[in-house]
Amino acid sequence: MAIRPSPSRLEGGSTVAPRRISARTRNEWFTAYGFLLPNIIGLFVFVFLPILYAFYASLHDWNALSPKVFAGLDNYRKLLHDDEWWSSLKITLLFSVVYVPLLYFLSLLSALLMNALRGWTTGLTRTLFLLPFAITSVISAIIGMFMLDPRNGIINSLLGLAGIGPQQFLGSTSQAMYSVIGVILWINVGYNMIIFLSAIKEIPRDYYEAASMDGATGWKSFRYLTLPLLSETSTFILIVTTIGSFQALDQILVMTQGGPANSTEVSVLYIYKQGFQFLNMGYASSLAIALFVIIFCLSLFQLKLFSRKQG
Amino acid sequence: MRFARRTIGILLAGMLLLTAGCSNSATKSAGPDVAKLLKAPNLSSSDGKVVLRLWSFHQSMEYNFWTWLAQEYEKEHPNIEIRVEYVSSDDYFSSTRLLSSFASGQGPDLFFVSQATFKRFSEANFLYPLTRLFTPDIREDFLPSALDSVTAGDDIYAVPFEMELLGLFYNKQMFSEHHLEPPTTWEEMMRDAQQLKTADVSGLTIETYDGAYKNFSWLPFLWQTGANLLTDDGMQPALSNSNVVQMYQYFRDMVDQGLLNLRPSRPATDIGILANGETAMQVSGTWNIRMLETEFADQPIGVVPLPVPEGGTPMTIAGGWKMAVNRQSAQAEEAAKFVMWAFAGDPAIPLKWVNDVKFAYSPRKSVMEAGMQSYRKGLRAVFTDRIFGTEREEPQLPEEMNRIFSDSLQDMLFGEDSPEAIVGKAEQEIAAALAHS
Repeated sequence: MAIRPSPSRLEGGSTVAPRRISARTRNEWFTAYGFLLPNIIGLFVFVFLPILYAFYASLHDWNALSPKVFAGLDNYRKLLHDDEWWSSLKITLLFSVVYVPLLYFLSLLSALLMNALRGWTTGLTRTLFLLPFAITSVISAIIGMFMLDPRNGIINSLLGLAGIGPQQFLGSTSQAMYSVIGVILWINVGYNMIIFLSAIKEIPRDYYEAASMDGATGWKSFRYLTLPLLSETSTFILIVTTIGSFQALDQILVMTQGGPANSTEVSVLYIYKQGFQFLNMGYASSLAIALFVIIFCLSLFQLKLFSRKQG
Repeated sequence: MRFARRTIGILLAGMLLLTAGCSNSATKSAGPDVAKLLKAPNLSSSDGKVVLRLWSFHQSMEYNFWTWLAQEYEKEHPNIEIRVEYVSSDDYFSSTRLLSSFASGQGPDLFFVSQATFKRFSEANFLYPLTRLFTPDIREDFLPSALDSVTAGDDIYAVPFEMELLGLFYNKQMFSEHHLEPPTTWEEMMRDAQQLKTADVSGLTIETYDGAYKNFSWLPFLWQTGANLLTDDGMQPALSNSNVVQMYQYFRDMVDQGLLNLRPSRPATDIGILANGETAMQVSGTWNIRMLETEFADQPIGVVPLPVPEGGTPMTIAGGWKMAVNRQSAQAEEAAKFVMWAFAGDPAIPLKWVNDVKFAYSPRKSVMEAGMQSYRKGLRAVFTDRIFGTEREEPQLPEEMNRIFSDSLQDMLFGEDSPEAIVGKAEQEIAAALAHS
């Protein structure tokens, strides 16, 4: 196969002027970057700079109050032998493995059901689903705690009606993580449902009519039509929720503070404790960088996996 | 498109103006220096007064006390203005707000420290030394243990103004209905809890949530066994005492029988748990007395000393907040004068705090003598006659030690390991932490 000459080169060796960018294109770029500029500045100041600073801090022994003392890679060596860090990673992984698929399926299921709803109940039901997400996450977590209260909580009351004795939920090492997952699902399903629902609404009705004429209804229509057409939305939701599951903090901090007996101490909570409770800011920064690398690699892997599937 | 271009033009012009504004203020010698502003928040007020910022986490009557105190000081010192600023207790207890404010040079001039935070701030050199303001007379007036609690090295870094003690609060009505006497020993406490526990009422509430207060609540029970976390010189673990295992076993048995309130509806500092009938007994402190005299005056609540193991000696813990001065403050000397005026001078001020605003003991002999009458009213008399004098000062433990003890309590309450294993693990961790330090 012949190799094409570079477009900037003529056979005689002389160069051509680069392709001229039209004034209209230039204006569009200018407009786009103009609108993006505030966000870019915000990202730089509030995201990239802190990440760089965290890396710098991770190379120091620092308690946030006294001057930093350079420690090289000591903090990174320490985390390799920190059992509690590895335990918190395992707990994070458990959280992620249970939470992400459940959130995906529940959101999709709710969106499908919501799509089938007709009449005045549609808006009301959507609002009810979205309500836990619409209020502050801390308030939602507190409401979740009330529902799970061993003495007066509604969940134990309902279990009581079914003849099941009161459970400790957040006060039990074996139930706390699943209880936390339940509350966070309750908070977030509504939001993801709305994303799925809008994607479902985008699918033209003609496709379903054509499929129905070919005999594909119900499960077949969902399996071979809806699901493939939702693949981009699914990718987005899976990647975003996986990243979110590794960053879960506020609701867990409110509901259990990592307890009982560290059974819900996810990695971000452990980093928070190291930084703000034990004042090991340098070490906490090294943990944060390690977690950043893990999330980054995981996201790349997911993107690659999904893009290959889609390809 | 024209609109977009115009919008961008306006945006860019705005940014240029901002940039120009910033560069102007950075180069003009007379203009405000941003770095200086950030590093020195304690500016003088517009009328030339020295402004001192006091961060308080207190509420209602207690918060009002600080504003009253500020006004009183301003009357006597017209060149001083004291701004009392509210900061939530969570921010104080978990230290995130205080910490970030100090780290950024925005800390208050006056703030409160507990035993848990005192060591941290004094080691980081954030506390202004008050030693030379403590004259021999003032030193003589303070209880030695109270002064020890605010001393690091040879210097005094804060002024203690209250002493809180723990006791066992109980629901008198529940006890009388079951013909029970309030417990004096651990054995009796378990027996009472067994008889009083129902589906809706737990036998005993003691702090189970992580945090400084959990260790504060459990340390007296550890001390009652004759053990401690560290030896007196702080160089060795002191848990190797068979009674310690018995203590962990005792409370594990309470958990196994469902007698402990593992997940109280609010922190165990709040006597509302007992007053609302959620529990029959609650380990809590003197700070609740005022609430019991006012909001829960109609509730049948009594208090007794913390029960002890069979044949053990009565023992409780003494804690309380201390007021400290920010060493970074440009007005540290003025702030130090205020603290000494408030809590080391006229006994009437600290007396108002420990008697009228709340109930606590004073770390000063003269204040205790002046308020002796009110220490004998109602439930206060139980604390004064039966609990006061059996206290041990809350220790200044390194954070690592606090954490090891806290984790061992979590394992006891919620874990599967045997008490022997929990105590053995805690002892090993303490030894390792000591070796590392």
